[in-house]
Amino acid sequence: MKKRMVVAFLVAIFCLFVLGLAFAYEVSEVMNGGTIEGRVRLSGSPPPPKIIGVGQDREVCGEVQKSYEIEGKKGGVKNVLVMILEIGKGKDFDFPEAVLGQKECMFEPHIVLASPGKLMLASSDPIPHNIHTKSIMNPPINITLNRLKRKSSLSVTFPEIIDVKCDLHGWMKGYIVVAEHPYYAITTDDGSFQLREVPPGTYELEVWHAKLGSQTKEVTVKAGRKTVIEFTY
Amino acid sequence: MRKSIILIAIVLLIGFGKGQKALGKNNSAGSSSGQESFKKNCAVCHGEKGLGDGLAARFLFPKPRNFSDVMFKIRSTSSGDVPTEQDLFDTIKNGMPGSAMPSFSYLQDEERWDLIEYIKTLGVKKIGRKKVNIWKIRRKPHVIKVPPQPGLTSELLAMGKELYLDKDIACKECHGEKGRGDGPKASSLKDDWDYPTVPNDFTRGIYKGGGTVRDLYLRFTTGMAGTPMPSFEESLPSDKDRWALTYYVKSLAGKKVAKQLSQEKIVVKKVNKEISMDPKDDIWKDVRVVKIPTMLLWQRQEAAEAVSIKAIQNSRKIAFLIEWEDSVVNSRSIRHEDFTDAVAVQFALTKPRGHFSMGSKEDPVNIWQWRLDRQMDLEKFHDMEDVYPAMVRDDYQLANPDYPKSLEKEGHLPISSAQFHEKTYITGWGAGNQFSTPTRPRAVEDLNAGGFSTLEIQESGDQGVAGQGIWNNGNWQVVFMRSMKTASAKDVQFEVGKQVSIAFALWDGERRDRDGQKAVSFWQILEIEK
Ligand code: HEC
Ligand code: HEC
Ligand SMILES: [Cu+2]
Repeated sequence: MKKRMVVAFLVAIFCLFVLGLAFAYEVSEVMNGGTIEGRVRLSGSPPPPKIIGVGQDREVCGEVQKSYEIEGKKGGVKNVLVMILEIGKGKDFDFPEAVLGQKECMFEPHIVLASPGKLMLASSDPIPHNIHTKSIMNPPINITLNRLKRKSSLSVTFPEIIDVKCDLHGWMKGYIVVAEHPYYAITTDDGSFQLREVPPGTYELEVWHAKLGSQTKEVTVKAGRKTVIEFTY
Repeated sequence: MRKSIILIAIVLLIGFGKGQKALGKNNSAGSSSGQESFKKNCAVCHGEKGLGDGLAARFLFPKPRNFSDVMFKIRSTSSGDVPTEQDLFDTIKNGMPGSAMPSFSYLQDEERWDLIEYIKTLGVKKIGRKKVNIWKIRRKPHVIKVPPQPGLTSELLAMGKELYLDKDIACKECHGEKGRGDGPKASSLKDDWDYPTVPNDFTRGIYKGGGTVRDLYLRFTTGMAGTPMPSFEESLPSDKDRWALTYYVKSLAGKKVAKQLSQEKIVVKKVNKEISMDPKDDIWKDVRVVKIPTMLLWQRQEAAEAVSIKAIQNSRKIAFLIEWEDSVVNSRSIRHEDFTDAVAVQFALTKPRGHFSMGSKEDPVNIWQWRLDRQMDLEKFHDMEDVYPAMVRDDYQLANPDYPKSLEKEGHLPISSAQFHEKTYITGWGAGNQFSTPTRPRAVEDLNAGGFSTLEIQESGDQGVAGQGIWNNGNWQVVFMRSMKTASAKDVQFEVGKQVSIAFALWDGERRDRDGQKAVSFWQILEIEK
């Protein structure tokens, strides 16, 4: 058993070398980690949602769909991806099981965080939807979920932000974020986020929003302490 | 060093190990001869580096594939998987009817394998600062086994229809109730490259991946990567359902199945008579007709599927009779929103490389283009009855308001009068100023091209090609005639016993064809009989 693991490891190193892919993250126990806590704010108020008239499928999708390009409460921006840019070592993945759902003709959540492995796909609507992904490193798929198949899965191996759409409903758009390490977060309604058990050190922290783009800031984490940071779009 | 790293190690191990195997024979000789063949046969569309940006790409919809994307519509494998080598082999051999992707059936098998080897080296993306060959990081493809095909029964067909119309299976949402490609979702679909795309019109029997029941079974089971066409591998799991749907979809086209173009030989028959310009002349009666499929340079729902060619010569003159189906006559290019029907014959002045070309610096071409609007300018000075004495008047479909005869001749502006043309149209094949000459006393123009957008009209004195067209019951018939030999180096010269490469292009005004938007054939061989 041990021998096999060593071989696997060596092969992994070899692959990393050959492919030149940065998979340099190593899981190790984090002693005395710190916390990064923050908010992503919007200067000004978010634009009103686009109202899209639903032609077909009104029974399920409603009369209109509201498409929020920028969403958030209390001056914060929701659905912003927050990540430490380069980190060699740290805790193991601790994300909740990632499920990309389709509910009332929307992707739920709008942006789903996944660790490398399998991402579950599930529809709870009584009408068919496509899950059509656009990715470079991970295999791009286009499958239908319908009454004969409500659940499926997608193998995601490489860190990447993947666009998702449904060809049957033009407004249905979402994102899958395949994380390189566990120090990733998505902001909540009021734009807040938290990264826990971060090994002490100085990092580049990046925020990314589909519409607003990205920003980076340097952040220093001290042992057992909380560091507060704020981004403004 | 814990679980996740090992997991990644294993995933990579599987991914990489198998990816490597999928590459098959990995000799660099194959790849370099593949590269040569690619330059010769594929680069005009797919680009020198396979990035889908060849010289012709500008005119083509759907666009030629960018091979760095590693996206393939025609697969026997699950959604997300790369195609098998056999899938690629079949695509290259059969082409993709309904797109500009030609059939390379004339290549040797070995050359096709070399091309596949080479295409796999093109699947490279820049990730951060590193270059990654996507083929090498994809898992070994899961190949869908097509189970034995059941016999066709009316029960199966009825079941297929029911599945097709099932809202939860969704075929009709895109492909439409009657399978005409006009479902409620059809008009808003886009492909992964952000171009609008249309669902297949099943009544036409044109399938990119082939029209056998096996092909159709695979196409909706695997989906077509990069398009809205999803995979039903999981969402229609029963074999029986799939066969039922396959048979039903196939039945919508009747027996029609489009084949992609290949190369034909047209023999110019020797006649010992004067050749007339009348397409109905008896002289054409015993001449063998060669039917040549055309492909669209612009994807749309309908187009002539073939041109029929006859060719004769009497030692002094050579003539071609070209016939094609076109249900509506379009001639009023005088109004901005109208376009004209037109046909062109193209001759290679050298031995052409590849089998599709608008000419290049090394391989210039000579083009004879007939346009209905120009012919109608001419008719202003003739009476139709003089030109086609044998014609039955009632049969003459041009006797509609478009026909200048029914207009006030004196005040009637020449149809090619420049100021009334849309500029893009005037430029014709993308050429320069000479095209804006308001009137020209010819229905046919003698042109030269050395690559895209380098079209030149020959000097007035060198314009030696005559042409006449008539439209009869849904068919155009156009005769071209010229002397076998001319004094101009820009003209193709015909010699008894020799071969010339010839190709055809059609514009359908009803479909607003113009410029690069047309149907074309590949190079065919023209042989001048002794
Ligand atoms: C006249 C232009 C043209 C030439 C020449 C041409 N192709 Fe293509 N090819 C296309 C177009 C257009 C497509 C995309 C069709 C589509 O997406 O529907 C395509 C698609 C393909 C595909 C993708 C098939 C799939 O499953 O999606 C392959 C593979 C391919 N071409 C190989 C070749 C090779 C090899 C050659 C040379 C031997 C070649 N092509 C020459 C126009 C061309
Ligand atoms: C979301 C829209 C959508 C749905 C749903 C859909 N299709 Fe398609 N289909 C397309 C599009 C778009 C194409 C054309 C893709 C191309 O040529 O690039 C296509 C092409 C096809 C083709 C042509 C294959 C070829 O070789 O050219 C077949 C067959 C087909 N679909 C069958 C089906 C069947 C059967 C169903 C239902 C089980 C279905 N489709 C559902 C959008 C759809
Ligand atoms: Cu949907």
